[in-house]
Amino acid sequence: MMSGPSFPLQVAVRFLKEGRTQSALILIGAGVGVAVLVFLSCLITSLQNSLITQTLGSQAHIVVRPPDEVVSPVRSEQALRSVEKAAQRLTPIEQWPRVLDAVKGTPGIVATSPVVSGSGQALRGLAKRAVTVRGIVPESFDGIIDLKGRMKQGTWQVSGDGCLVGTELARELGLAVGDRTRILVDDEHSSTCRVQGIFDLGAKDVNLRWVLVPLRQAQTLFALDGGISIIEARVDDIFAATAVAADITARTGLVADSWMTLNAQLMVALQSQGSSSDMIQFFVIVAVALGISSVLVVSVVQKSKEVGILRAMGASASQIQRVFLWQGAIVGLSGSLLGTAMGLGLLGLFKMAPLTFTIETPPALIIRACVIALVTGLVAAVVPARRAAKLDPAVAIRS
Amino acid sequence: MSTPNATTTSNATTTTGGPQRPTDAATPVMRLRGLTKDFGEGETLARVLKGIDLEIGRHDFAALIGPSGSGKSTLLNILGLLDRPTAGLLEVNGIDASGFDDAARTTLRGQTLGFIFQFHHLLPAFSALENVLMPIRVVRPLTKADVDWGRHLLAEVGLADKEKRKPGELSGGQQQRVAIARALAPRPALILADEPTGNLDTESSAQAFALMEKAHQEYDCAFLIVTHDPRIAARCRRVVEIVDGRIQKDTGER
Repeated sequence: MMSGPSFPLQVAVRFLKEGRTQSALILIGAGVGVAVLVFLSCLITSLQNSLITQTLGSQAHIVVRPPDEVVSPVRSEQALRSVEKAAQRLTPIEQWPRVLDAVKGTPGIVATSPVVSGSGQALRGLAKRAVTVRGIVPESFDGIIDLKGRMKQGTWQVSGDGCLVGTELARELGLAVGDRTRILVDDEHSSTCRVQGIFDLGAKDVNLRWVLVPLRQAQTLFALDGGISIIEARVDDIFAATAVAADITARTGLVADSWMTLNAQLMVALQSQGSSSDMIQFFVIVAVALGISSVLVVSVVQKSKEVGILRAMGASASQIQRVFLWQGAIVGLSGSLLGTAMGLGLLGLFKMAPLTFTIETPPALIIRACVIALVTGLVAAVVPARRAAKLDPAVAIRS
Repeated sequence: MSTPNATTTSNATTTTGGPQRPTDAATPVMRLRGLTKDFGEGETLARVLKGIDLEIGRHDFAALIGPSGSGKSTLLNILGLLDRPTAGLLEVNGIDASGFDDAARTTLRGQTLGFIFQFHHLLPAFSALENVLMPIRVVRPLTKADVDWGRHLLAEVGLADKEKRKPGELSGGQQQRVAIARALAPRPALILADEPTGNLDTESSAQAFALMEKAHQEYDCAFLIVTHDPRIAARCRRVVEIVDGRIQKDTGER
């Protein structure tokens, strides 16, 4: 009958069962708190993940390019003072295979791909569209941006005189797989290529502008002669991209931009969203802690006679302390179960509404909410538990 | 002589094995010499116990009487190891316990003493049998033998069929009988009863007293009963009267 759980745990359970209304109230309080934690963190995380996934669907984590050419005018009275940047010329990365190795060797980098990227025009019949011509090695480029999974028609392995275009460009120029289009870079450089595939990278602008051609063909078009203009890289931890980019700059002397700096506004939005959600969660936790704590303080007063009796029976002060710590832990733990159920229920309701993103419920977030609730319950119980342990048994019995 | 009032560490001098019931029957359960207790300090200092000399033998069945405010309750708290004396000697089973800290007193209390209170003071959340076994349960997990012992004690007080009842489902007299069984559970050397019949009707009162007498004989356990009831005192073999913090009269063994 009484063997099994530890004595303080058993008394804690009995005390909670005895004060049924009170226990139900703090349980609901803790549950609502956990529900907010689960709901908010899942919602915000899902929203942010979807925004990031969308952004990174057509963007490399890190883009490495040569430094901007600095034209240094001759400092002289007679010199012409107007300085213009050379137009329409791609600056190659010097000794790029060596640089590529250096980028590959940077900690945190999981994939790299050499790219030639420049602007041009795509022509078909009388239609003409400004495009970004990107010369890629399909196999390595697929490691940077998921091409394989985003093809609407045709193949992703562009080769020979082939090219891949986005759905928007295909629509505007009336292109289908097998059709030909002319790519014009400048007066001297142009080529005709055959559409091998049509992709949808999830961003309208990219679908309209990108023309993917084999690296070699782009090198010819931009007169790079075996050179490349940028290296694109993928990192394992997307939020470490800026740090990794800085590392790459230090190693290669080239400019490395992370997706975070390229999307500074998005990052600010995500961060403020994240911190306001953290703030709300923090205050919810504080409110829950105060709620549990105050109810337990009252319960210590109510139970002081029982505490005195237990002390007279030979229960130690530390056993009494544990009785109340257990109560905090039990409330925290059962509150987290209840709260998880409520939070998931709420998310379920949200899922029924039309949303632009899918709501995920990662176990890690739920476990986090439960751990927070448990710790909150324990911390909230510390003060009441100490009070209970300090009760003078002689006085408590007579209360 | 004062030990730091640590609450968690148990004093090494107290605990060496199970309940301490020395074979030497001559050693008193309690021995008090020049024991005093002060409350307050400075201007408001009040000496409630003014030098108590008292011995409670292994086979005593004693009443402690005295007017309200005489220091009865204070003495009972000190005997019950619920409170510490200000000065003087307090020996329990021949061991000087005057300077014991809270943890050491708790251990000694659990091993040596049983309590019966005026208002039974059962734990309402636990059944009759669980209440009876509580003094054992606070110290260690229960064994089958413990549970059998608890049932035996409940049967002894005539409540064999009520073991699953919560205190709230029992009458006042029944509750006090559960409390008597509980006091006996740890096989204490001494049971301290604080007005055990004070809150009972005549019949229940007589029944409770009879049970205490029976327990005294059957389980070889000393009793000290604080009472206002002259009829109860008259039936005790020894009467100790305390007035104004001093022992005024002690009939000794009768």
